[in-house]
Amino acid sequence: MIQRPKIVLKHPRFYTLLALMAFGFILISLRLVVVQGLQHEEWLARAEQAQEKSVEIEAERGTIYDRKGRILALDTERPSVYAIPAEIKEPLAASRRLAPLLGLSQKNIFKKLRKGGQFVWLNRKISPEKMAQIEKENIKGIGFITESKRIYPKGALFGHLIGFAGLDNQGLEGIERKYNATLQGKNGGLILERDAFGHSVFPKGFNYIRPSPGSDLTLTVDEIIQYISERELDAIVEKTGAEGGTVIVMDPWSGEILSMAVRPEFDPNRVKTSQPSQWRNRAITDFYEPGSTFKIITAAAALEENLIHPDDLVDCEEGTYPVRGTVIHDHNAIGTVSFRQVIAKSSNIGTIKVAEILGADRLLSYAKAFGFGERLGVDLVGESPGMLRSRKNWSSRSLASIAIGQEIGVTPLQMVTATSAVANGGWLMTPRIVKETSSGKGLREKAALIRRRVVSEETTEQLVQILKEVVSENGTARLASIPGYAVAGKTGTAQKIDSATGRYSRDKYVSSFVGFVPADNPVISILVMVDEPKGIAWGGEIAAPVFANIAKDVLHYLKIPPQRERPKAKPWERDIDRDRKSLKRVAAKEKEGRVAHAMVRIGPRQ
Amino acid sequence: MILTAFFAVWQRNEMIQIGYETEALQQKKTKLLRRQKELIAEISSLSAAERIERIALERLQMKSADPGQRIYVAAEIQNHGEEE
Repeated sequence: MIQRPKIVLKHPRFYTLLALMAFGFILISLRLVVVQGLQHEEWLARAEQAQEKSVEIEAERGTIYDRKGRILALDTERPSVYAIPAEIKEPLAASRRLAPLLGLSQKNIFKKLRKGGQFVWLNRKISPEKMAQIEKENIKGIGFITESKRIYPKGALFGHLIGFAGLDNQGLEGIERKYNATLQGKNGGLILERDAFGHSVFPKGFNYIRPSPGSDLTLTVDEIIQYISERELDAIVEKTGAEGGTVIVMDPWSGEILSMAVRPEFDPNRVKTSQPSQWRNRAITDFYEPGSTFKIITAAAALEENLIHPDDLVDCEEGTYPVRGTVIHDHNAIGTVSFRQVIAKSSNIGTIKVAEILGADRLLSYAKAFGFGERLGVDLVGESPGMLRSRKNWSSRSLASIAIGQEIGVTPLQMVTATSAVANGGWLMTPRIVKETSSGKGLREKAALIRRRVVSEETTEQLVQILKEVVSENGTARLASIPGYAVAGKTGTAQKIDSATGRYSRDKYVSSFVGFVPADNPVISILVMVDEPKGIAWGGEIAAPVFANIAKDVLHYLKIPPQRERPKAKPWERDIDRDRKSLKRVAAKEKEGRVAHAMVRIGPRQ
Repeated sequence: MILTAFFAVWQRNEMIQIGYETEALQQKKTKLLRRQKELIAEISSLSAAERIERIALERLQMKSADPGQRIYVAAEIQNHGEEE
C-alpha cells in the first residue's frame, strides 16, 4: 500500500500569495465579464469616440451661368480653421500667434481657446495663403476643414438678380434663394479613424457617403447686355444725381429677361459691407406711379374696343380741362389733334377724354389683363403685385388719374412685360429668368409661357404706329430714336408722393421710358426708370436717351442690321424665331377657336 | 498561432500605411481641385465685359465703331443644298 505524503504547511506566506493571486484573477475575470459582456456597448461607443471622427462633407453648390455659358456664380473650396482647446496647452501664446494671421482680435481668440471643450471654429473660409501661414506656425490643436465658398466673379454685375448664399451655403437672396433647393445638392459624410497621434487613416474608408452636387442653372440674361444696361444706368444716375434707377431688357416674344439692372448697386462678394436695403431687387419688389407710360394701356383698351381710331380728332382744350372739381393741365397746350397726336404729345387731357368714353370698368379690366395688380410669376423672390385698387375703392377722379398713370403702382417688370405684349402682337408672356437646369440626370429646359392674349394683333399694329410717332420729331421722345431703326415707345414723368405731406411732390419725379426696337419686328423691349433725378426730370430728356444708348449697343451686339435683315447665325436668336413661330401657331389656333387662353405653353416641353 | 498573429499585425500595419498614403494623395487632389476652381473663377473675373472695355478704351486707345462704320453682311451658306 502506498502511503500518501502528508502535506505540511511549511511556508504559509507562499499560500497567502497564491490566494491573493487567485483572488486577483477572479476580480479581473469578473471585470472582464462586466466590460466585455454587461457594459460591452458602452465601452465600444467610448472607443469609437476616441478613435473615430465624423465629418460632414458639404455638397458642391451648382454653378450659375448666363445664356452664353459665362460663369456668374460658382463654388470654390476654402479652408476653415478650427481649434480643439483641450489640446492647446498655452492658449494665451497661441492666441497671440494666431490673431495677426486670422485678422481677428487676440482677446476673442483667447476667449475661445480658454473655454476648453472639443471643437470651436476660429475663422471660416479663409484664403489658402492664410492657411499656409497658419500651418507654418505648427500649433498643436489647430486644424483645417475644407468648405465651399460662393464666388461671384462678375462682382456687382447681376448682384440684385443672383443674390447670394450665406456661410452655410443657404441661398439668402435672389436666384440663390429662389432656386436654393435645386442649387444646394445633398451633403455627404465621412467617418475618419484616428491613430494615437490624432492623425486620420483610411480617409475614404467604408463609411464614406459621397455628397451629391447641386444642379447648375443657366439664366436667360446675357452678361454683355447686362453690362451695357448697368453702364448706361450708372451714367445717368451719376449725371442727374438720381437716387437710383432700373433698366430691364426683355425678349418680347418669349418673356425672357436679357438684363435687369438696379441702382443703388450691390456686390454679392461684399455682403457684410452692404445694407440689407441694397440687396432688394427693386425691379420686382418696388412699385411706382408710371405716369404717361401707362397711356399705352389706355390707348390699347380704347383701340381694342373700337371706341376710337388713330386718326379721330380729340379736342385737347388748349391745355386746361376741369375734371370732378380739379383742373387737369397739359405740359404743352394743344388744341384739336388726332388721337395719334394725343399719345405722341402725351396729352393728359386728350387721354382722359378717351378714357371717359372707355369707362372705369373697362379701363380696370384692361389694366388687369395687361398684368397690373397681379404677380406675373417671374422666378425670383419678392415679386410685388403692384397697386391696382378694386373698382369699389375708386373715387370720382380715379378714372382720369389712372388713365394717365396716377393712383396706380406698377413694378418695372410689369411695365416692360405689358409693353412686350404690344410688341409681340398682343400676348402677355410670363417673364422668366431661368432658361434651363442641368444635373447628373440631364438637361431640363424651361419653356416660355403665355399668360393670356390681352388685345388683338390688329390693335397692336395700330398702337405700334402711334408709339412710333412718340419717337418722331413731333413726339416727346425724339431722343430715343436710333438712326436706321424704327423705335416705338412712350415717355413718362410722374410726380412722387411726398411722404411728409401725403401730396404730390413738386420736386421729386420718376422719369421713365418704355419701348421696343425695331418697332415693326421687335427683338428687344426696354424699360428705363430713373428715380428722383435732380434738375430736369422729363422722361423724354432723361430716360429716352438712355434707352437709345442701350438699344444701339444691344442691337449691334445681337447683330441686328438697320435694314432688318437678321442673320441666322446665333443659336439663341433661333430660339426667338422658334418662339415667334410658336406664338403665330397659337394665334392661328386661337382664330379657329381651338385654344383656351390662360397659360398656353410654347417652345420645348419640360 | 504565432504566425497567424504576426500576419494579422503585419496586415493591419500595411493597411494603416496605405491609409496614410491615400490620405496624402487625397489632400494633394483636393489642393489641385481647389486651385483649378480658383483659376476658373479668375478667368471668369478677368473676362468681365467691364474690364475688357476699360482695357480696350484706356490702355489700347480703341474706339467704339460708329453706326456708319458697321457693315452687315447677310450670310447664306449653301451646304449640300441646304441653307445653314
